[in-house]
Amino acid sequence: MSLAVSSEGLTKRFRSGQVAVNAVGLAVPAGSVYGFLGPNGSGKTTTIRMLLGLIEPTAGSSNLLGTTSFAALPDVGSLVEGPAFHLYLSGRDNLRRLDAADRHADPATAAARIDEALDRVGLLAAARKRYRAYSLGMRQRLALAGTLLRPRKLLILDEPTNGLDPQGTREVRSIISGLAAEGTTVMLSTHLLSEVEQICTHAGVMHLGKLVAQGSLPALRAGSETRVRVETSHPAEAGRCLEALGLKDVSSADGEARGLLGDLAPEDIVAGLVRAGVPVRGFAVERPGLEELFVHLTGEGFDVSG
Amino acid sequence: MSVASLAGTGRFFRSELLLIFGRRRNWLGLAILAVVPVIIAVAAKVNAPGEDEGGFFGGITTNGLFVALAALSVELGFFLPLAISTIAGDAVAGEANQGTLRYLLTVPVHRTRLIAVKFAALVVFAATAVLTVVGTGMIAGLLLFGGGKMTLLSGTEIGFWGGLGRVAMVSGYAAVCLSALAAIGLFVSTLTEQPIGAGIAVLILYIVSQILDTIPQLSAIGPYLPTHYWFAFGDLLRDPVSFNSAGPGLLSAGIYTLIFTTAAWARFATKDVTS
Amino acid sequence: MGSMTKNKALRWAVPIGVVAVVSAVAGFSQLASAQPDLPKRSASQLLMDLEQARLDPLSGTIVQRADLGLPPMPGASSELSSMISGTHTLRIWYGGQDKVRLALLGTLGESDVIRNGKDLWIWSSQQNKATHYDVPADSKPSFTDPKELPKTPQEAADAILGALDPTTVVSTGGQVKVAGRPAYELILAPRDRASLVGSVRLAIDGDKHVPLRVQVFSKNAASPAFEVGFQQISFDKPGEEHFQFKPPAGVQNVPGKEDKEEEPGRRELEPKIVGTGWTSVLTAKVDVKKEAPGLLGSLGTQASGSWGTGRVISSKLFSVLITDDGRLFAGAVAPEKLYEVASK
Repeated sequence: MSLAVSSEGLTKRFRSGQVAVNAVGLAVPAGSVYGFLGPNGSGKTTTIRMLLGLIEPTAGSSNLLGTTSFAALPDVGSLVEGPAFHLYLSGRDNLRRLDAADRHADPATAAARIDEALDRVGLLAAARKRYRAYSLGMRQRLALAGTLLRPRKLLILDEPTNGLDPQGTREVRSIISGLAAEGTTVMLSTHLLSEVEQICTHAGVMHLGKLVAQGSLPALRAGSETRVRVETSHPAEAGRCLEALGLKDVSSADGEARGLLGDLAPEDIVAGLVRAGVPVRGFAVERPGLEELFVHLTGEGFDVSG
Repeated sequence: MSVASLAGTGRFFRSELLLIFGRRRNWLGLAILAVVPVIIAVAAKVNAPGEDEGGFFGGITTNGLFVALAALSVELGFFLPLAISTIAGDAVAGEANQGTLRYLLTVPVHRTRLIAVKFAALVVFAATAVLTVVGTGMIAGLLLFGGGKMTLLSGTEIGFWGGLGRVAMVSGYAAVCLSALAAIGLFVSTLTEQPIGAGIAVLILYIVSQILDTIPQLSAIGPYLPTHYWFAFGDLLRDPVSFNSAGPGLLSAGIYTLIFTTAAWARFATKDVTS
Repeated sequence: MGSMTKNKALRWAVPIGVVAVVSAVAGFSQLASAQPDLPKRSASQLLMDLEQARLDPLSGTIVQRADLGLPPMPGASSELSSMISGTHTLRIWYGGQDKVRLALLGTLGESDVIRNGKDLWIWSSQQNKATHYDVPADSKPSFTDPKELPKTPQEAADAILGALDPTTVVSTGGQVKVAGRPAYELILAPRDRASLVGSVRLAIDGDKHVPLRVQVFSKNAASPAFEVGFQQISFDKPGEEHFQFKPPAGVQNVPGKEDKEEEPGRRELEPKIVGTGWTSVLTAKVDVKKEAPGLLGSLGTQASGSWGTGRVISSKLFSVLITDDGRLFAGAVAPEKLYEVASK
């Protein structure tokens, strides 16, 4: 599978000595929607700035669309650390300026492309308003429109739903999903787990400047081990039985016994318990959600709302 | 560069000009620059300078073109450098401060191209500022005092069109000097994310250079100061035109421009954009 | 990481390179001008050359610098202080004895003296004033007020050669370049150690044998206290238009009066010279009430001795003493020498 974004040993040490990004090796498959997940301050934005050539890595290298970032940037739409436009220009004039700065953009189609992008994010009606008068949601959508001025192969979006109301969030997510459906690779940084679960196919987890996990969502989930839980009046007996059946990491506590399922089939375990005469009051197979996985990896809770 | 990429840069350059000239603050600045010549002309009309008053101010009542020259010599002392410092300080620091710099760079705009376009726009602004002063000065002067022959500093009289040519040369000279200040400003602007701070720093540099130039004990370094030859445009009003000071003045401005545009480029090309 | 650091350093090499090239070019042009190659000439040959040289038509730019080491003069008029300190630039067009134009360039002004036949015009753009004098057609041009410093190398050389006498040691210096032209250097030094003047250096054009530059050094000073020389010179005959002057319309046009009649009582103030050569002292009587509050009042320092009391100015090249009883002493000597003359 070809990679839309890749990096090796990407490291940034700031002049203060702080290591913001530490040997990050990203692999964002082409065509994926990649959730770049991590709490605030975990190094996501610094990584994105390095990918886009805004800051120079202290060590390591990165590629976009199989080439250097400057060569790839015409095909990359990006949103970094919130929207930023000229306050005294209208939304449309701000997009005009971005388009004018693009030496590859065709001036003949500029007006049409700008209006199309504004329409796509629902800002056409407010196009002539000064940016100063835009709400945070409108600003965010204008920034998104800026990435849509021409067809892109890759979108790198840093917290695209930050500051949006639930309605705006839904709209932006549906725009992203629509683009992904058209085949655009999307790398989406977020601190919202739900965002990843709703629209991402892949994810990478940043923690304290390091990429602690990366892969497709099913693979990430599979990587965490499934446990069985037996509710019983005889937990010690149940534990011995589970061990005899070949489960690992068995523990027994008040009213229950637990163990790692491994390759065994759950129905065989229930049969085994019954055969051994252990009174089974309840039986559960526990597959951990992403949330548990991430709490486990980062030792921190996530903002799961939104 | 291919024709297409030149055309692409032309579009970016026009957008840069729109950014400067589309801003109300900058219009206000130009309006202030335009007020001074009008005040000079009206003051000279109401209270005519004495017969024996020399220099530009003395010439005003005989030829309206002198209003333009008098206004330029007054505004070159403070208002024009103020305007250039403000705009030049804003060039990169302003975009960094607003965060628009990161979006320009990811368009992508090559950093060298960005610096080149920014400086070209500053040169256009410097020329516009000078033309604003000289233009309003000429209009006000010609309306109130009329045209006619112009007396050069050497005492020679030349015709109106010749005089206009001299005024044009003086304007060009002033624009070149201000462009050198703009280059210094562009460099300072790459050092910070505070556009107003950058503008003030450039203005202070200008004032310090002017002050150092007046200290007799420091006369040895005088010719190397960026502002030393600013008022040498008088050379262009002699008969024949002298390049005794105006020549070194153009050379000095050219060298300062080259040093500081390349320094701005060196600084900006490798700068981490964290704003 | 390594290549990036190198890249960064390389970019800074560009502006630093510009600075280096500019200073190298400036330095090289000075070095290059230090080594002309003229046939050798002795001091006496050079003196002869100077005397025989005819002043051919020429035009050029002259720069005069004075660094007399005078204390700052609060209250003194700026015109005065600019006369004896700082740098002046003049343009000269010389078409012959009766066709001369000399223009003193101010930043935003100009003062011109134009001699054409029997017409002499003095134009000041600052005062917006043109003054006309009638002069005898064959008279030598002389624009110089004796109170002022010489404006051209010719005037300076004339003044110095006029003072040549047995009190002077004449020698040759190296070869120099002045205004881009190779030149011989003639060095005149006083024998009398009491003089404040260390040496006078004349640069004499290698081809035309006219003085291109005169430098006056005070004792123990490496840079000249006074210097007047061509910055640029051309021996092409200047066009007639430079000597035509028509006062502009609307300008004060004053017919100048020949200031020949002397004020009554002026004669007794006539200066006298005491001593000879480099250490001669000029003495005169002055109206203390009239002069003292001006120049000396602000510039001089209080002094007293067996000669009385007064004020003294001392500079790198000369000293001036004005006693409270109205005697003036001046010379290229230390104040002590003036006190000595004053007490006689």
